[in-house]
Amino acid sequence: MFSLPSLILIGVAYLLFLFGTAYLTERGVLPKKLVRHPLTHVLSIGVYASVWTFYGAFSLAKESGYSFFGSYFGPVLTFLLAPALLIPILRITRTYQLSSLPDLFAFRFRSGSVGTLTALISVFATLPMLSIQIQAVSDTLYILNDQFSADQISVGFCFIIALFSILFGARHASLRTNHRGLMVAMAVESVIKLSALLIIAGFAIFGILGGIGETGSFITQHPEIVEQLKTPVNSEAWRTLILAFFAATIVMPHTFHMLFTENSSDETLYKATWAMPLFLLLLACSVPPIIWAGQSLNVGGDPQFIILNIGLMLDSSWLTVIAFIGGLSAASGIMIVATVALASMLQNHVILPLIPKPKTSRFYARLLWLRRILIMAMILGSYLFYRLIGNHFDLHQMGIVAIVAFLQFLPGLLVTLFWQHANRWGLLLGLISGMGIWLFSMLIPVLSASPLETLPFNINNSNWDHIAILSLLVNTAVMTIVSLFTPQSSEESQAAQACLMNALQKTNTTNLRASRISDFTEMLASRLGRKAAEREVQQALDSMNIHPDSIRPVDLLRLRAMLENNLSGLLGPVEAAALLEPIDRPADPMGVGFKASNVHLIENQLEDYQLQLTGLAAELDEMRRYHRLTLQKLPIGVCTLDTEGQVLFWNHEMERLTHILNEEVIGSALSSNSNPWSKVLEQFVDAPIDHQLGQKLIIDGHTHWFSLHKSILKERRDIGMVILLENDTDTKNMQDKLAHNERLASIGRFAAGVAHEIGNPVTGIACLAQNLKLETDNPYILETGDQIVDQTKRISRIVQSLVRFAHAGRPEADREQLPVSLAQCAEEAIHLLSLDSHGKHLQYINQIPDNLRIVGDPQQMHQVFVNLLQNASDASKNQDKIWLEAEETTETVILRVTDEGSGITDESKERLFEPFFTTKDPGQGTGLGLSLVYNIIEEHYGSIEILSPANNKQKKGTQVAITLPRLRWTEDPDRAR
Amino acid sequence: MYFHRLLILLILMLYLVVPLVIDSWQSIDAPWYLPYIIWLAIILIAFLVERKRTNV
Repeated sequence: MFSLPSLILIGVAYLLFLFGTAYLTERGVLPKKLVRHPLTHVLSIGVYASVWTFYGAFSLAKESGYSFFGSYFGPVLTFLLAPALLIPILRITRTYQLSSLPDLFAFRFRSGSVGTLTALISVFATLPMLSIQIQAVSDTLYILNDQFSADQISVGFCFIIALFSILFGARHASLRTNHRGLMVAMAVESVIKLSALLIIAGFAIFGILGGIGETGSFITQHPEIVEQLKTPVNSEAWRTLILAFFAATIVMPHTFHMLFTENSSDETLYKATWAMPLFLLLLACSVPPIIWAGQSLNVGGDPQFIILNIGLMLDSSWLTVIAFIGGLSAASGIMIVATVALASMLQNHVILPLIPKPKTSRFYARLLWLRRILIMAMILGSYLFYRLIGNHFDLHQMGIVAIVAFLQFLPGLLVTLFWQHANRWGLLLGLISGMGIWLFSMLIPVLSASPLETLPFNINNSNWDHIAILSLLVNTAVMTIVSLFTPQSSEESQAAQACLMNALQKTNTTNLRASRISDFTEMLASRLGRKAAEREVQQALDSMNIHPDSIRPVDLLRLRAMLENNLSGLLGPVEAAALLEPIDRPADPMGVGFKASNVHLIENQLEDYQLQLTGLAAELDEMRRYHRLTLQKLPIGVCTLDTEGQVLFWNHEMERLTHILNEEVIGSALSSNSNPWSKVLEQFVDAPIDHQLGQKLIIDGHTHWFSLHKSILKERRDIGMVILLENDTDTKNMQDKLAHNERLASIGRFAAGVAHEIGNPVTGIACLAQNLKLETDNPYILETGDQIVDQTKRISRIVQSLVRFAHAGRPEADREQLPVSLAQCAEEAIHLLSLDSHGKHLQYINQIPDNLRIVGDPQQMHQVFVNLLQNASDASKNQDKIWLEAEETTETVILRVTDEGSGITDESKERLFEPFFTTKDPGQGTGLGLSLVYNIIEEHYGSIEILSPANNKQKKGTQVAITLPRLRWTEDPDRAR
Repeated sequence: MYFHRLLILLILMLYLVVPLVIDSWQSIDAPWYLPYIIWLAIILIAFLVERKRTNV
C-alpha cells in the first residue's frame, strides 16, 4: 500500500512533467526538429491506446485468449490503408479547414443537421469511453490506497485534466491552429505507456520467470497457459471487433483530432503506415509474458489490473509506480484530447447555431472562452456519466457500447470518399436507423439491467456483434436506398465532388455580389465586428499572395473560398457557409458552363496532379496537354471567353501581339483592362458580326493592321466564345509596297509613251527653227530662232532621259549580266562629274574596296553612280565632302553614298522615288534621276534606303544605302582566272 | 485513379478470407507467437513500401 502523500506526490509529479513538456514546447525551448518530426506526430496518434489497451487487454487475453488482438488489428488495418483512407481525409480537412468529424460530414452533406447529429452521437459515444478512463484511474488508485474514496479521486483527476485541456488544447480561436504543446505531450504519453509496459514485460521475463530460456521452459511445463491464449475465438465477434476498431480509429474524436486537426502533413500518415502497427505490436507483445508472470506468482484480483497487482505482490514500489503512471498516461491522454475535440464539435454544431454571434471586437476571445467552458462541461459530463452509470459496468462492456456507436459513422465516412450520390437525407436516416438499433438493442438493455443480476460480460459469448452488424447493415441499406431515391442539392453535389478521392478542389461557381474587397469586409463586419472582419480578410489575402489593388473577378471568387475555409476553421463549415451566403448571387439554374475561375483552378491543379494520374486519366491528361500546347503555340492569337465575358484562355501569340500577359488577363473581363487591344476585342465581342478584316489600330505612333474572327462555342448549351486575332501588319505593308511599285511602273510606261510622242514634233520644231534662220536676216528673228533651237534641245534632253528611264524596265533577258566592279564604276562617275562641276569644288572620297563585285549591267550601274553623285553634288556646298563606302556580308553588298548637304524633309522622303518629283529649282532637274536609280536597283534584285539627316548631331546630310546581291567568288570570271 | 475500387475489393476479400485464416490457424498446432511473426512481417512490408515511396 502506498501512503496518501506519496501517491499524490507521484501523480502530481507526473502531471507536472506533462504540463512542463507542453509548456516548454509552446515556449519553443524543445528543439524544433524534434517537435516537427513526423515520428513525434505519429507517437501523438498513440493516444489511441487508452486504458482499454493498457489494462483491458490483460483481462481480455486471460479470458478470451487472442480475442484481445481485435483492438490492435483494427487500427493496424486502418494505418496500413492510410494512403487510401486517411490521407484523402487529411487533404479534405486541411483544404477546407475542417476540425472534426461533424465538420467533415456537415461540409460534405452541406447540412447543419448532419453536423449536429454527428456531434451529438460523438458526444454520447465518447462519454462511456471517457467514463472507463475515469473508472480505471479511480480503481487503480483505490487498489494502491483504499483510504481514498472513488469520488475524491475522480473529481481531482477530472479537474487536472480539464486544466490541461484548457491550457494547452484551447490556445487559439481557430480550431485548425496546431497546438504543438498538446501534440508533444501526447507523444510523450505514448512513450511513457509503451515504456511502462515494456519495462514490466521485461521484468516479468527476466525478473520473475528467470530469463528467455526459463520462460520457454515455463511455457512447456504449463501447456494450459498456451492453450488459454489459443482459446478458440468467436470468429464473428472477432471480425466485428476488428471492423469496429478499424472504424473507430478514424472517427473517435481524440484520434480524429490527432490524425487530422493537429496534423497537417501527409508525411506523418505515410510514416504511420508502419510506425503505428509497430507501436501497437510492442504494446501487444508485452501482454503474454506479464500474464504468465502473474500466473507463475498466482497473482489474484481483477485480471485487468494484473500489472499493478504484480508490483504489489512483490512489494516492488517502483514496478507499481511504473504501472500506475503508464495507466495514468493512457487515461489522461484520451481524456484531454477527446474533451478538446468534443468542445470544438459542440461549439460549431450545437452552440453557435443557437446563439447569436458576438459582434464585438473581442470576437476571438469570446470563441476561446466558449470552448473552454465547453471543455469543462465535457469533463463534468464524463464525470457524471461515470458516477451515475459507468462505474456499475465492466470496462469492456462500456467500451463495446461506445465502439459500436462509432461504427455507425463508417458508411458515412466511406461514401464521403467514394460515393458522390449519397445525400444528406440518406446519411441522416441511415445514422438514425443504426443508432436506433444501437440504442434499443444495446445501450438501454445494458443500462436497464441491474448490474448485480447480469453475468460478467464476455466478449465472445455475448450477442453484441450481431447487434453491431445488424445496425451497420440497416444504416448502410437505409442510406443507400434513401440516397438513390431522393434528390441531391447542387451545393451538396459540389461538396461531394470536392470530397471524392482524387477530386480537384473547385471553388464555388456562384456569382458574387461583391466587386471589391471592402464588400467582403463590410459584410463580415456586420456579423463578426469590424476588427475581426478586417483581420480575416487580410489573412486570406496574405495567404493567397494577392495585392488588394490588383484584384480580378477570379481573385474575388478565390478570396470567398479562402475566407470560407478560414472561417470554417474558426466556426465550423456550416456557420462559415451561412456567414458568407449573403455575398453569393444565385447562379443560373440551367448552369452556365465553364467559369474562368474553374478552368484556371483546374488547370493549375492538373499541373500538380500529373504524376499521380494513371490509366485512362493519364491518357486524357496527355491529350489535354497536347491540345493545349497546340493552341498555345498557334501562330495566330487565340483567346476564349466564358459566357460572362471573362477570359479563359490567352495564347502566346496573343501575349506577343497585345503585350498583355496571360496572368494579367485570365479570369478577368476584357473591359477591366485598359489596353487598347482589350477595347478592340471587347467591341468585336459585342458586334453582331463574326469577321472583321483589315482593321487599323494606332498604338504609340505605330500602325497595326489586324483581322478578327469569332465563333460561339456551343455544344448542348452556350459555353462561351473563341476569338482569333490575326496580325496583318506585314501583309498590309507588302501590299502597299506592291501598289507603290505598280504606280511607279505605270508612270514610267506613261512617261516613255509621252517621250516618244513628243520627240517627233520637237524634231520638227527644231528643223523649222533652223530653216527660219536661213529665211531672214532680221536679228530679232534670228535670236528667236536660236532660242527655239536651244529650247528644243532642252526638250530633247528631257525626252532622252525619259526614254532612258523607260528603257530601264527592259526584260531581264535583254540585260547584260556581267561582273561589275563597284569601285571602278564609282571612279568613272566621279571623273565624269568633276568635268561638270559648275565651279564647285567637292571632295569625293571613294572608299569602296577594289575587289567588290556584283552581277549586273555595267552601264546601268554607272548610271546609278552618276545619278546619285549628281544629286549629292547638287545638294552640297563648295568644299563639302561626299563619301562612297561599301561593305559586304555573306550574301550582300551594301553601298553607301553620303553627303553633307541640306538633307531631305520627311514629306519629300515619301515621294522621292516618284518620277518627275524633284526638290531642285525648275529647269535644274527632271525628277527622273532617283526613279531611274530605283528601277535599276530593283532590276538587280536590290533595295534602296534613304537616311536623312545622315549626321544626327548636325542635322544635315543624306545617306543613300543600296543593298545588292553579292557576286560569289566562284562566279567571278576575273578572279577565277 | 482507380485505387479506391481496389481498396473496396481488398476490404471485401479480407472480410471473406479472414474467417478462413482464423479457422485454419486455430486448427493447426501453430506456435503461440505465430500471429506476432505475421504482424511483424506486415510491418516490414509497410516499412519497405513507405521507404520506396520516399526514395522515388
